[in-house]
Amino acid sequence: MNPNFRFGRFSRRTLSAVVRAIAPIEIGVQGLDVYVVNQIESQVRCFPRLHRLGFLIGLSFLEWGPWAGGWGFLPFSLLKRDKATQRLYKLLESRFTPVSLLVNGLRVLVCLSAYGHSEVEQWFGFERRRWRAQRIKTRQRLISSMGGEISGEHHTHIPPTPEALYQSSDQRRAPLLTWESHETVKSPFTIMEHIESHNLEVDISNADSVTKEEHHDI
Amino acid sequence: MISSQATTMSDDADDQRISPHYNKGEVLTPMTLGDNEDRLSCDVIVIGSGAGGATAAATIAESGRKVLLLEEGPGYQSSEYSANFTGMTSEIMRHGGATVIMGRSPIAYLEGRVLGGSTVLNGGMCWRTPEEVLNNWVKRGLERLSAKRLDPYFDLVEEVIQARYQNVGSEGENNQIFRRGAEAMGWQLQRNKRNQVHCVGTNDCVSGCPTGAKQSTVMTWIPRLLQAGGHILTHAEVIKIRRRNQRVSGVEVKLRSPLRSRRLVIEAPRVVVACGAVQTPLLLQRSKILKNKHLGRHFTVHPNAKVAALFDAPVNSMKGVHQAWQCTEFHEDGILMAPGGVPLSVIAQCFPLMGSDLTEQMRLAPYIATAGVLVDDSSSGFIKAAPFGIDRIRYDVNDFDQERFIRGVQRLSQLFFSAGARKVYTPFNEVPTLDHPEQIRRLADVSPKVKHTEYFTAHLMGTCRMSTASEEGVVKPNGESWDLPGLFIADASVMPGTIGVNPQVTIMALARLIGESIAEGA
Ligand SMILES: Cc1cc2nc3c(=O)[nH]c(=O)nc-3n(C[C@H](O)[C@H](O)[C@H](O)COP(=O)(O)OP(=O)(O)OC[C@H]3O[C@@H](n4cnc5c(N)ncnc54)[C@H](O)[C@@H]3O)c2cc1C
Ligand code: SF4
Repeated sequence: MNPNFRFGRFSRRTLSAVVRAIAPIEIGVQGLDVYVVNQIESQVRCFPRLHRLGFLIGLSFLEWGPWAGGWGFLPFSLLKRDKATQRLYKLLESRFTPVSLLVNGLRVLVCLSAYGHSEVEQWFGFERRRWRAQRIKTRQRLISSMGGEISGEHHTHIPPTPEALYQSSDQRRAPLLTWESHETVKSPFTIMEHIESHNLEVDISNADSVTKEEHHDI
Repeated sequence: MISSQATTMSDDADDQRISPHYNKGEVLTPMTLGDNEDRLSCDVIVIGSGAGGATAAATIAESGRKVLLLEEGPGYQSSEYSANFTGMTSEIMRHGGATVIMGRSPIAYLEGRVLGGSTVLNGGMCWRTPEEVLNNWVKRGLERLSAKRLDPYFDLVEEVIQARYQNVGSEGENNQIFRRGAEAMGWQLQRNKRNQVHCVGTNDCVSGCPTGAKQSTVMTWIPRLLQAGGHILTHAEVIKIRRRNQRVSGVEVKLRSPLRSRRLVIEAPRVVVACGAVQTPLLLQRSKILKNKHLGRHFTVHPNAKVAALFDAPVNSMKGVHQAWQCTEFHEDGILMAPGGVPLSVIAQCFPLMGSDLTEQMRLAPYIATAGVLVDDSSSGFIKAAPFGIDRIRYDVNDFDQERFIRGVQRLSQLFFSAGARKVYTPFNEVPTLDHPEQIRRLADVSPKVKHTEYFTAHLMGTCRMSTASEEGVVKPNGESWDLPGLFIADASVMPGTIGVNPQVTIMALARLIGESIAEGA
């Protein structure tokens, strides 16, 4: 770990291009690429020294490898987004393990930060942060309604009753815990409507013919 | 006894993250130690505050011995775990969560590096060691590990960590889909006990429970340790274990302070190593104090693979607890299946896509359910410290286990289709999707190769195994090293073999047993 580690200008430029090639930049979240590069920087800071060095060498390889190897003219950071994505796909298939590992590692790091960004989550209909905040409050209300203390660090004061609560007919507390599920609330729209409304090309045509008997035949 | 004058926590300590309610013992940080402090001593040093270390430390401290627990990572309170998943990986996981086991196919894994160790990031499933596993261990001469003798330990551990079923309403649709699928197939299904108090299903277990519901060691064994007068020093990485006159004599510590890193020597006649199944053998190898040929070997990992499925109506897999159920129908075949709701950033990794392809695919994310297949491994790997910090951590999934993976993914696909899935996404790059139950057969026909499969793991075990003879393992049945008196090991690495279920309860029961031996004067 090196708390003072920062990417240099060139590594940052290549990494930004990688982020643009992998992350959902077309949804228009402002500053997504800078955010992701910063998040990755904070993770790389925690790598052991040699892994950090390997990561930087990997970025240089990505930037200059095609040029040096004669299988492409432009450095990675100058490629258009689609071309950059195609190049990553190609390298992902590489038979040379360190290369495929590098691209897979970058894919994981970028996905983790990009799809963890609050506006990206919201855009894709994943209101994780709101859910989290709601549930934290729910638990606080639940614990205070039982006369316990809110922080988990004081758990010894909380009456240990979840099993009892689960079977209990005590309806005063139950509403606090229940929330919508398929069995209680039907969703406002189905996936077919969703696919149509987003003009998606997803082949799920066979799925309609699924019967339960077929499952058991397998 | 901890001999330093400077070991009291000052009122105006810079780092206020440790709960002031730990009022009997003391939680120290490099900032609260005197600047010139370079030598301490105590009765027993415990290294690592995870499932094994915290349990052993509390047990020993309760016998009246002066215990100092050393933890490399920082300490956090529940309210400090943030919603920024990537940020948390850098704070509480080793190498920012970017840890990989090399082999025929790389296996991603996670290790806690925080007060509470991996119990801070684990899913909370609580399973006792299966009886047939214990019987096997007894057959190998480990009579102390019989079901009869361990039962009271399991009882105690479950009571301390509050292992219990989930509250109604905390499960979420991802779990319900899994339950409905297994029920439709008529398969055996078990509710999971988890170490939690009124979990409300925020599904943040991996990045630290923000509500305080999960009963990691920070909520359970660590308060007991402090209550018994034990001490904790965080930000303290042990870099070497010392020996003198054929006995262990203490440790060398690197204190990681935001202001200045420095060294500290701590002396004690007994040292308990509990750094986890990867770090424990690495520390012992680097310290060059054991010559045991089993050190770092017999590494088992319970490899896992993710399966995702597309449904008609929203699943919203981030709502509801991670694993409320487990399908145990194929347990005898060494296959466990469990639902596992994951955040958007992890769903994105289920698809071998990038850029605009991935964006399109991710529009379906709210409709995607996820689950995992765990295989009780018949293979094993090794861990070897190497120069320049490039440690070798190696594990190869063998063909026998790969066949079980294929069977497991087939079954899980059946389960998902029975619950109404439109499409299933497998972990096999050769057959990435199944659009129809009839295609499940293709998995057996194609027989995907190990190198084309994506695995991950969270259960690391067995690298300093317990044995009844020095030729067969690293530690005696009481946890003491065969080679160096006074050196004990009390974490996942002492497990004599793989167990096929989630390991924290087993680790804690063994650590309690080892802690008692030390308390009794071993
Ligand atoms: C994501 C995840 C999910 C899991 N889910 C479950 C589950 O649902 N149920 C279950 O039973 N198990 C689960 N596990 C596994 C379980 O949490 C671990 O098996 C268990 O915590 C291991 O205990 P341990 O004591 O061996 O190591 P750890 O708990 O990992 O503790 C080791 C500690 O040692 C410290 N350390 C390491 N090296 C040093 C050093 N040199 N100096 C000082 N300190 C050091 C580390 O920082 C860490 O705090 C999960 C694990 C993970 C990662
Ligand atoms: S689901 Fe949420 S509340 Fe429940 S234990 Fe996990 S993090 Fe805590």
